[in-house]
Amino acid sequence: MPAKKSTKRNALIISGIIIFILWSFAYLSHGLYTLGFADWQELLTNENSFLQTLVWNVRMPRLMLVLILGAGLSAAGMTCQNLLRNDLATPGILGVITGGNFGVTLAVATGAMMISPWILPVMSFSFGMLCMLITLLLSMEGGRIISRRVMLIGIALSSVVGSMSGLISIFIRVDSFNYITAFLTSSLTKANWDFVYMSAPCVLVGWLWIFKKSRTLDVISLGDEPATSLGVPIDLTKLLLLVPAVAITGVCVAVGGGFAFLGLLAPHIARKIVGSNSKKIMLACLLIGPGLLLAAESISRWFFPLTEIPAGVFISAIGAPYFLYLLIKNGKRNELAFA
Amino acid sequence: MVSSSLKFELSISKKRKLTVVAGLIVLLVAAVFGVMFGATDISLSDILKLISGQEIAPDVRCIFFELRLPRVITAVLVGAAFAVSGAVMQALTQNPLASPSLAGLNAGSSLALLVALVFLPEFSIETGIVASAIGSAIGVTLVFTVSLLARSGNSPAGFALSGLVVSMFLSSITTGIVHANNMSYELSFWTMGGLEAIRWEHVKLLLPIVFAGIAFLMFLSPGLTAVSLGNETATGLGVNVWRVRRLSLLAVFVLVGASVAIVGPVGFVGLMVPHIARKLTGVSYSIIIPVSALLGGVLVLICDTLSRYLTASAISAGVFTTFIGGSFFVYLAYASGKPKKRKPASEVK
Repeated sequence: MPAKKSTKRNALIISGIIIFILWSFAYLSHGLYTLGFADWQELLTNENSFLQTLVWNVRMPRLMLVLILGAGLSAAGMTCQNLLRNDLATPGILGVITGGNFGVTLAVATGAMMISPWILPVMSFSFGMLCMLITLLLSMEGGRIISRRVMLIGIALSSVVGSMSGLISIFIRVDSFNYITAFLTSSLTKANWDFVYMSAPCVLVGWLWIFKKSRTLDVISLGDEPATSLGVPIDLTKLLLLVPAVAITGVCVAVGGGFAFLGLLAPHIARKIVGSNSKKIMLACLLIGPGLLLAAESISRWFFPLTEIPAGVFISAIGAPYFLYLLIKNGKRNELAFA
Repeated sequence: MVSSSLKFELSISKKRKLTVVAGLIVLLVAAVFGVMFGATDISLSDILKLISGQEIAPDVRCIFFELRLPRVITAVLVGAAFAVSGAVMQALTQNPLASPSLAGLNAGSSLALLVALVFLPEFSIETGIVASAIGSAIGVTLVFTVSLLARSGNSPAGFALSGLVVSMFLSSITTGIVHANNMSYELSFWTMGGLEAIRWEHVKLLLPIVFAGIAFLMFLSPGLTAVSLGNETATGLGVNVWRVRRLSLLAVFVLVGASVAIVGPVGFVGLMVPHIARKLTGVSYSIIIPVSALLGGVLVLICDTLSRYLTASAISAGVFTTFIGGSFFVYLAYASGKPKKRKPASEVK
């Protein structure tokens, strides 16, 4: 039986990878200008500046960001879920995404981003971190994080920080306002190679860090104390796992967006396929996270070519009902959160 | 024993009177400031002249009557509508976090209004009000359904979570429609809730709706007080809980729908104000409702004046109310984990 199951799983993974690669080609080819077979031939053999620009400078960085954000955000989501022992936890719930958005807004509004593009991810990370720390601090009671409070405080803090971003964007010029709005909607339309070079190493380091510590995550998610206890004690080990998750999210917010529900969806789908081993989930998320994002991107680019409805819209439209489904279905596991 | 309880009664009614009088004074002062400040300031002496019927410069007169006055009145009306809606929802659900912004009403009405704006061949404010009332009903129904189905979903956290996620879902659809029609700039201002385009025709529509809605809820207030003490208690007192729920929710939909259609979703007024009103006046909704209306009006008026005073563009009262009300929400969230014993919603601070 187990052998058969693993064969089935391997088949699933391999077919997943093949589908993903084929879809990536379709993603690169299809769009406002669709590349045919002859175009690809020309692109690979001749210098054609139009095709070069279209594929290498417009579509390729987007595809790269799909990979980076998809893998990064789902690893960050999984880390939060395991650390807080809550199916519904994501960096977004801890206030990291709105915090990051605030950092980005500040960087654009003050003109700091003109100094160096690196300002964006740095600000996004710092403010995301700050928001997370405030959320955790306010939800602590005697050195323990009270799960039922974490969610509520995260939501509340997000609304305050969100309004602060709104406040800033009122004071600035219309073109900056449009720029910020474009930045804050989760979409990859602003992708360029700079963003790829910036985000790839950060996300890679964070991802490897979490991957290396995934045993710890497994142990924590099993619970190191009787199930009757209400809180999760926080110590250095856990904080050191939260930091890379926040860093990844911060960088992703700065280059593409938080995609609030991606960090929720991908680990859950992975868990259904490969079980609860964090290492396996992370590996599976390498395919599932980018896969989801690629699907959302494709819908936005192919079906709405001129207006480009942000990909984040589709992620939310799928992710939010799934969240509600989890809220209804998994009463038991999440009882802690709503006691 | 008797004398001390009597003293207590007296002090409560004194406190109420004091609250109402103080609220009215603050409202008046805020209204004066509200008409004074803006792109062109109107001096206090000009306002006094206007009130006493003397002649002033025609352009000042025009600004006063055509721009400032309708805007100030609308701010008060909208604030009252949101605050009363929040108070009623908190009474009905016995949940301290129930409010238009957290229970999906705002997101629902925004979406419905946008759908009406984009897809209906002829759009007028009236159809907008109807659409957004229906939308608020859909939004709150979704949230209630989820929180009823979820185990312990009526706990503050469960309710807020389902409200948030339903709102995110609805607003993601809103964002989609906005982008598909290339209307993001205008609408992103509107979705923050702003009062810059208010004229008399809006006041003429909003005034009767808000007054009728609040009066209707006042008529239901004994039932609301009973329901706020718990469904069993209410039934025991001979109150038809379902009738109170149905009728008062209907009024809430109309109030929220009209406000969102005219001003946009002004956030978190309905969360914060009822708590303050309850703290000031006790548990009876026949007094909580008018005090909430008063305080809500004051809050939105001050926020609108502030937004006009601080920013040249005079855009958005909703950002300020969300900031203030959101901070209050953080405080509520912080306090909600603290007490171990369950308190009735009316007492949770």
